[in-house]
Amino acid sequence: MAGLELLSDQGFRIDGRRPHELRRIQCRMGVFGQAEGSAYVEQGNTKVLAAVYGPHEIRGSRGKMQPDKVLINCQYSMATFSTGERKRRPRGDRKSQEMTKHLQQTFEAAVLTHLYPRSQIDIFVEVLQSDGGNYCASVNAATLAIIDAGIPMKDYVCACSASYIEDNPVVDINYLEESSGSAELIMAMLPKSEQIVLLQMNSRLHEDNLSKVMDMATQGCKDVHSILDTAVREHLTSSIALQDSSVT
Amino acid sequence: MQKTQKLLRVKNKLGRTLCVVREHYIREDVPCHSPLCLAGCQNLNTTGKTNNSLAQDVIHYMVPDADVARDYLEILEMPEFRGIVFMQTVVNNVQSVGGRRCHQRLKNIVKDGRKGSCVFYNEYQQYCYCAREPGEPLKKWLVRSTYGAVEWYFNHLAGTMPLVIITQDPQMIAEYSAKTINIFVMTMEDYLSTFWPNLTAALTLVESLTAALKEKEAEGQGYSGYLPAEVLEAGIKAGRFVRGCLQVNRHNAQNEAFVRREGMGSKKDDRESDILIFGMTARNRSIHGDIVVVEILPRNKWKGKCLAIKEEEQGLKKEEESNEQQSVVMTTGQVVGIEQRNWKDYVASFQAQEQDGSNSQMHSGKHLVIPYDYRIPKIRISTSQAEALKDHRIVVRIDSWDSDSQYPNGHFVRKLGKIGDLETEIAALLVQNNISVGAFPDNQLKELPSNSPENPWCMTEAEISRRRDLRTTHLVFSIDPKGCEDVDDTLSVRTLENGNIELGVHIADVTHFVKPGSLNDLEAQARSTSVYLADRRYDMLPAILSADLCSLLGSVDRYAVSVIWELSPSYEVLDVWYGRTVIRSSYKLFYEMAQAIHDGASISEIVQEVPELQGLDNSEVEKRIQELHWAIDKLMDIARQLRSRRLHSGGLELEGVEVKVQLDDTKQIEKLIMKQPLEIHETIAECMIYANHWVAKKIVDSFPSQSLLRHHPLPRQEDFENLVNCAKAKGFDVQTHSNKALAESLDKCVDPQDPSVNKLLRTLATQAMSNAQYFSTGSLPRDQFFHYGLALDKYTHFTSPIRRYADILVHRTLLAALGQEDASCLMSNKDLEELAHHINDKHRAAQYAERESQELFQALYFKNRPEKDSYCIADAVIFQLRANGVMVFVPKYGMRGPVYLKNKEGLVAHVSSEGQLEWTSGNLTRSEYQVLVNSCLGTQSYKLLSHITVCISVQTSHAHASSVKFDLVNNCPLITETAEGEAIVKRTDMIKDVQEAAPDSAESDVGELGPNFQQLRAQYGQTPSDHSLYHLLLSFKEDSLKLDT
Repeated sequence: MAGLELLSDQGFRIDGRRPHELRRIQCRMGVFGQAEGSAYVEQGNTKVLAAVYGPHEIRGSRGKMQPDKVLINCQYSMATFSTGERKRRPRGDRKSQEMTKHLQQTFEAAVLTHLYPRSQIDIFVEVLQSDGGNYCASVNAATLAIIDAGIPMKDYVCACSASYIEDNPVVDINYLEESSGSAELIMAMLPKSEQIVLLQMNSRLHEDNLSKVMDMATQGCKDVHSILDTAVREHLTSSIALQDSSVT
Repeated sequence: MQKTQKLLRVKNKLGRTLCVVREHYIREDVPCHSPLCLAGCQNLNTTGKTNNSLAQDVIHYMVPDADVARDYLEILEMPEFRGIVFMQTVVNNVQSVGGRRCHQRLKNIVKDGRKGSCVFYNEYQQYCYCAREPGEPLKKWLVRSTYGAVEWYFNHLAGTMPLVIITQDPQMIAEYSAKTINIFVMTMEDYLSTFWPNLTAALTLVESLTAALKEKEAEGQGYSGYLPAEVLEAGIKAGRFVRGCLQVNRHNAQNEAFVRREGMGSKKDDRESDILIFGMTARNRSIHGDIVVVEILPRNKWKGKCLAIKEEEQGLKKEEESNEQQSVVMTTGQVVGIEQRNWKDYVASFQAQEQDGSNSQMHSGKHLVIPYDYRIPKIRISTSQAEALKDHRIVVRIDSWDSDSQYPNGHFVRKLGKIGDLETEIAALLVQNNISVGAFPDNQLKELPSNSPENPWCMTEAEISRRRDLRTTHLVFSIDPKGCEDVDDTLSVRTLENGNIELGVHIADVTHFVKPGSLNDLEAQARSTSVYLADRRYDMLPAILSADLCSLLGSVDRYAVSVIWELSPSYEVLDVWYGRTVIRSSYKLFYEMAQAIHDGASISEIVQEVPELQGLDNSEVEKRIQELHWAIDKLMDIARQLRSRRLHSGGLELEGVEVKVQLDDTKQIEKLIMKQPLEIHETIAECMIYANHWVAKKIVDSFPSQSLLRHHPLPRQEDFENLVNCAKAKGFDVQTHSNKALAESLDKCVDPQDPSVNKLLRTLATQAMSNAQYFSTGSLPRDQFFHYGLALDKYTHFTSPIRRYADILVHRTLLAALGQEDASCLMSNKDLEELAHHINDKHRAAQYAERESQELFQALYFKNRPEKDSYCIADAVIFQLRANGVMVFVPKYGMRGPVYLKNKEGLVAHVSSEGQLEWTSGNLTRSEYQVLVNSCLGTQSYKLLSHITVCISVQTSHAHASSVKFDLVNNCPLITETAEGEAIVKRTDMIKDVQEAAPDSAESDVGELGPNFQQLRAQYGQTPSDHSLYHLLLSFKEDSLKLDT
């Protein structure tokens, strides 16, 4: 509805955050026993489950096999109950296909693909609840799942969105802000080297403001990285402790 | 990383009810905005400046609850109430229940620095936040949340400041009033009587508001006539409905209103851009100025505009007026919804007594009042003071308009004064145009330096060293209307050593005194412009600035902002310099004097009028005058060149007739004077246009998305119809497709026998154009920056910072572009655009007020004249034809109005061969260029642009402004009357003039006639008679007349 104040004069966003603040991120790793690696990420109200299988032999047509590197196969789907109104097609629609492609490209750039020639890695991402920033949450979840699976990567891939609302750059936008019609910039990057893996922009933004929004998104990615990193370390220490206790 | 916590809330959405879960983060560091805060809240606003906005000098903070903030917002808007804390809960509720307009007003209170108010985001505060429990009624939650926030706030300030919650909910008062000491919970009435016992205006306002609210409750809200918002939204998107601003036709307010489509490109289907709304039923309770949604009716119901001139006092309308009086059909529609109400204050008066006595409504305390503005319907108000206010003009506000009611409901706000008093009428037109004027408050004046004989203001060395010093190097002088106090522009011109010419425009440096965000700045921003009425003016800045410290008076040192060009001998710009300077104006000239110097007036005459030259020896004077003479000549030469260049590229020379009212010592109107155009006027104007243009270039280059410019959009072609038609009647062809073509074709429209034709056509062309507007460069594409009338690609206002706020903004931008001012204090594009709208509104209002005051004085002028006074008989030119008369223009007074050729009884006017007017039966036929009067006595025609003689009289009105009326006297021009008659007219004219001349010179030393009389006289007065050649010749003539008799 018109009239919603997306950013108040005192710099509060509609959910009470400041422009530079991320939503609360909670994550768990190793949520499935069956998959090699799995993770669950909550970014505000966006909840995503990721599972990684492989590396294993190429399944399906052999033609897809690449002699020098691994084939990364992604599937992105949204649960029918994930949005406000019930979704008809959980996967295979145009949007999901696009998202699948994006995820695939992102991880082809980050995983050390040359280590596993003639094999395949499957990444399955399921959005359980959608509240803006689906791509970002999916990438973050998939990163954790790959780490959980023990597949070597160049670095964490961290993704974060940013927008430009009322002359202010704003990080990690939620569904309301996303649907307000302002520009949306999505960035996935390798935070240590600050290399950008994927950059996408919806709607129009004035050139002068692009750098501000980019900086905001970069900072957001770094923040995400520190959160994911702590989560990985915690997961590791707790599982080592578990192993230790089972050994003794 | 951050202390945030997530909680969930359930919300419903429109359309289908959905359960949506939204996040809500709460935190500790929510700014409290109080200067008393001990906890070190980071009271910063978005731009990072400290913002302790709450007023310091109040004894308590006010906290209105949601209902009060919505229903009694008017009270909170009063300047007396400061230090108001709006809780976020309250603001949100006002937004969702009270609507956008209400919310906007609330936000304006908070934005207004003078109010010292703030919004406290209690729902984001960890300890104030209280979740709505399942099943808890909204009202109860609102109360709980507000009180919780107040309690926290009180403790946050460690109990140093009492807080007062204002609520109309008796339950809340009962429950909470005794809970904490120094948190008071009370009703509005109690609050006012406890804390503001002397503020009766507020108390009466509360009473009338409460009465209006009760009524509304009693009647229930039955807005069934409007479609729901989402249907409208969908309809607009689908193109079934049209959104636009409702404009009621002033002359036919009962039936005709137009909706101009919003956001229509002016090029595409111009013809369809206006939609006719015919009749009150179709208008469906919308009022002039509302943003409405309109449904287009099927083609067979479309109607044409009414072409007859309507008599405004006519009681009953005859509806059988058939199609012959209507123009071609145009798109017709009906209002199906109202997007935004634009109700404001209306001036009104009670109905004339005869109807009142028998009115049964008297007993219920309800009255119908008639607004001053014809376009507003009658308003029903409840008041007990009707008897006392019978002959007064009052201010009312509209509250609601129910679907079952013929008239809107409103309430009485305050009275202005007796009908017919000059002061009342002026106050009425100020309220009508939404102009608030008052004395400047003390704390605002305290910000400013003082300049008195015992404590003179002087420049600081440090400041002078920062500026370029032009005091000794340049001959700087100003040319203004006579007696002008606020001199904001001065000029200089000199020849450089290399033979080039240096032209300088030096503008008063107001921004040196008015810092962004200061009280003076806020007040000036709110006023936006000085308002000049016929007999007075209301300044934008306090007198100490406008008439003294900023004013570039003669022989004193002043700060200025200068634009200095280096021109080649053929006046091509070689270099331009902008910057802050110190100047000393050598001469403060006025237009007539400057022109006289140019024309080579004698030295003694000049010395007498220029105080700066007095007391010098003769050779010195001669040298100085020569110097000045050269400068003025050079300026004129440069200006001529610049002007011809601009006209060559399509600039328009337009004509606006300006009439000044001359008042005598008792504020009676003496004369209506037409402004005399001199060449020096054009010279000064051209230099200013040039300076404005160059400044515009500079600021746009430096700040492409946040500069304030002024543009003049392309006019709509259909508005030129009347002009083209008029010109055709005389056989001229006017091309309107571009400004250049228009200018050229207007130049050709010259009738050697009748100089007024060209003037009139130019006036018509001026009217056809849209107004120039301010805008922020970030909000429009570059190709719309141009100024149509001046034919410049970029234009702004830079040269009058004392009188216009826009110029102050431009000064700041320019200085920031030069790096002399901090660029971070500039406004963002969004804020600037908002402000530009505000300034445009205020400028328009000031213009209207000015015009209406002129009309008021015109009416007063003619009111006191006897019926057949020669002053009232005037020559008039027909410029438009209507079904029952013609519209005429009276060049002598610069007035326009209708002349009826068919009166209310259906009789038509016939002028017999002896020049006698008779009303006989007959009919009118209107063709393209003339109106034919067919009667039993013969046929007479009234052609476009032909001259007729009219008699001017005043139609007084109880509820509305008195208007000037024109009656046909003769169908031939006044000049061709018998020589005898002409002589009489002339003779009386002259005698009057001479009579006036005598006291004129005598009263020049009268001081006790009121403090501002001297100033007024100086501003509007004529050249003293003893210096005017005209008067000299007149006195000769008078002598000869005396010999005759």
